[in-house]
Amino acid sequence: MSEIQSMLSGDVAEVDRESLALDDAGLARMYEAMSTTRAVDKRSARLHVEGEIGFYVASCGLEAVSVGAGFTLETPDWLFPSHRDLGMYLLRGGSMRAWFDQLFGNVADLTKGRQLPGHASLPAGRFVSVSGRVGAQISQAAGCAMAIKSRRDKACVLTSFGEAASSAADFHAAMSIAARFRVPAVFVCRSARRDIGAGIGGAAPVATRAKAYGVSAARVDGSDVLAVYRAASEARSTATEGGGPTLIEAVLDEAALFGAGAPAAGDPPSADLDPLARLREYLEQCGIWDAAREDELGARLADRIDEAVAAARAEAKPPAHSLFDDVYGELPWMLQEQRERLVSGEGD
Amino acid sequence: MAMTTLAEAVRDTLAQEMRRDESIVVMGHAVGTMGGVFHATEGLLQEFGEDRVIDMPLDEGGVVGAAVGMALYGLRPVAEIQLADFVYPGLDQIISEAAKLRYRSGGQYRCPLVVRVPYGGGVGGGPYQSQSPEAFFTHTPGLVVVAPSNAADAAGLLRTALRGEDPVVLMEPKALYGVAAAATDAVTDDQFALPFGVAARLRRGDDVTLVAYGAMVHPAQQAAEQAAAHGVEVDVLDLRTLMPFDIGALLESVAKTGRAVLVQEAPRSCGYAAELAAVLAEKAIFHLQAPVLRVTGFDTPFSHAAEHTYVPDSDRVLGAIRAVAEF
Repeated sequence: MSEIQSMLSGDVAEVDRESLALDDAGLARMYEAMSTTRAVDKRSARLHVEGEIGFYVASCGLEAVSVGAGFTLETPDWLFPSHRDLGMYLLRGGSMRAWFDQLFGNVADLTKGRQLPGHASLPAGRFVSVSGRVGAQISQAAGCAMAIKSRRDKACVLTSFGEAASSAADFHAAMSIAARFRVPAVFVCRSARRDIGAGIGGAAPVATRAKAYGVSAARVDGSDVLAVYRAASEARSTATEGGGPTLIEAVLDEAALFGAGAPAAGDPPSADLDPLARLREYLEQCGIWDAAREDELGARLADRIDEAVAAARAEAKPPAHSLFDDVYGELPWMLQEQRERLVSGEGD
Repeated sequence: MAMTTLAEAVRDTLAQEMRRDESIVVMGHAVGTMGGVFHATEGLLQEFGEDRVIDMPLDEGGVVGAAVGMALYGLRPVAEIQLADFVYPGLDQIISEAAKLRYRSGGQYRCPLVVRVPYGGGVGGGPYQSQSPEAFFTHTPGLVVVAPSNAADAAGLLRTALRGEDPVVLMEPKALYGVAAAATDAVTDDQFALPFGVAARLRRGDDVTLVAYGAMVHPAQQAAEQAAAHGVEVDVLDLRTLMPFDIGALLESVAKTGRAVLVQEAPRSCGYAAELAAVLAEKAIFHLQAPVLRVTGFDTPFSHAAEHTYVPDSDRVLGAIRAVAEF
């Protein structure tokens, strides 16, 4: 089994900056993106705990994966996300306001209140609508990458999923398709740190399984954003240059990985495993970040989030008759009939 | 004029539309080099190349899942499932993804794809070569479901599917692929399209309404002819689109006849015909002069040895026509 790649060892001298196409400003933006993701996620989780919104799947502790991988994408790239990819949503141009509108399922929500909180959709950012079924997006990503390749477009597809999805049929279908057609795709899997050579349920690690299909694979420290970023950058270059698909296994501490699923999540993992703390320590050592900037960012995020939540909370729910929109391109007779009966109060 | 079989009509329409619209791709297991298990994609690989006629790994979930990803990107995939019996691994992607993408994204995404599903018995198959699973699809909001009974209708419905914005399940009656009864004059007009939701009246009669679709249209027509010999005139509707179906034609006919027989090959209970019967009970109760009868397969898995017992034939349809006529 291959080594787990890491960059942020705690010793600034050990970090190979040359291997990253990131200047100081880029690193600061990356840290801000991670901080924004965490702040929005914590508020989202709190809205659920306080009963203001429905079930919410948190992503606290996973910021290195969503931001590290999301940071490598270019405009024409497509993203088939899971429901822990808030970081990618924000990087792809999703606004805080649109995020909270979706969480409240209000009349301003572009998805019209149809899905559970966090199942966002952002065509402008090529961020595909999130499914409720774990793994469903993986084979879709492979198909989208086939389309990109057949059109000779200079782009790639990135899809992300948790380790549980690597047991789903979609994963295996996607691996066979990706390997057979050598598609421009980057598969990012968040997996749990275990004994060497062990994957979920006693299976081989997902990176090993990907390689068995003929898909290149790398294992990286999933709370080390620079390691995720470097691996994803290489995978994106390989993909767009015709070198085929790569799977990146982002290995995370179990507490970070599974704690994130709890609705009350919001407590970051311990500092040595906290992706934000690890990057911040490095940035401070490099003189890119300091306490004053941290305080300023925290205050700015709190204000912006308060504003977005207040605005989203104030919006009305979508009208009941909007239930019937978007089922088909045109409303067929049975839906017209059901809509009229609902609106007129005629009943069944 | 040259006659075209149903399989040839599917192939010719795919070829015509692929020439018109380069975003159309055909994909599935053995659709390329082999030309499809029923030859409905024969020759397409040679004309359009492997970027557009794609031999996929054998996994229906992967085939449809990949098709969904392609459709989102802007292609128009036509996914072939070799036999309807094998579609179930792909059902999640059809039901929970393709059919819901527009809805769940608030209309921001659309997923125009066609899933071709050869269905039904009558070809010497067993329980895994003969199923009629249309009710899984018709009970899924967001899907258009069509079931042609002849070559020209297959061409017209497929063309409409390839020019539309909704995911479409094309139920192709495999027993009819090569038979003369379903062959029609070749469709030379490459703009010939049939609108969804419009039934065909194949025979006009005032005594009994007979509704069928797909393969069952043929025993229904035979039974109607036999009934005429007994003095019972049957109004025969070929539904063509199962969802959304032609409610106007159905109600107009039953208002005239007051009697209805519904034919489906699929198992009886909770099947597609039950919906038609329920709609007649809701909307035509004062016209009805006899119970609405169904002629269907049985509530059993399909049986190889009992194939001809299972699949409704004209005798069974005639029996139901006579029962309602004499009620």
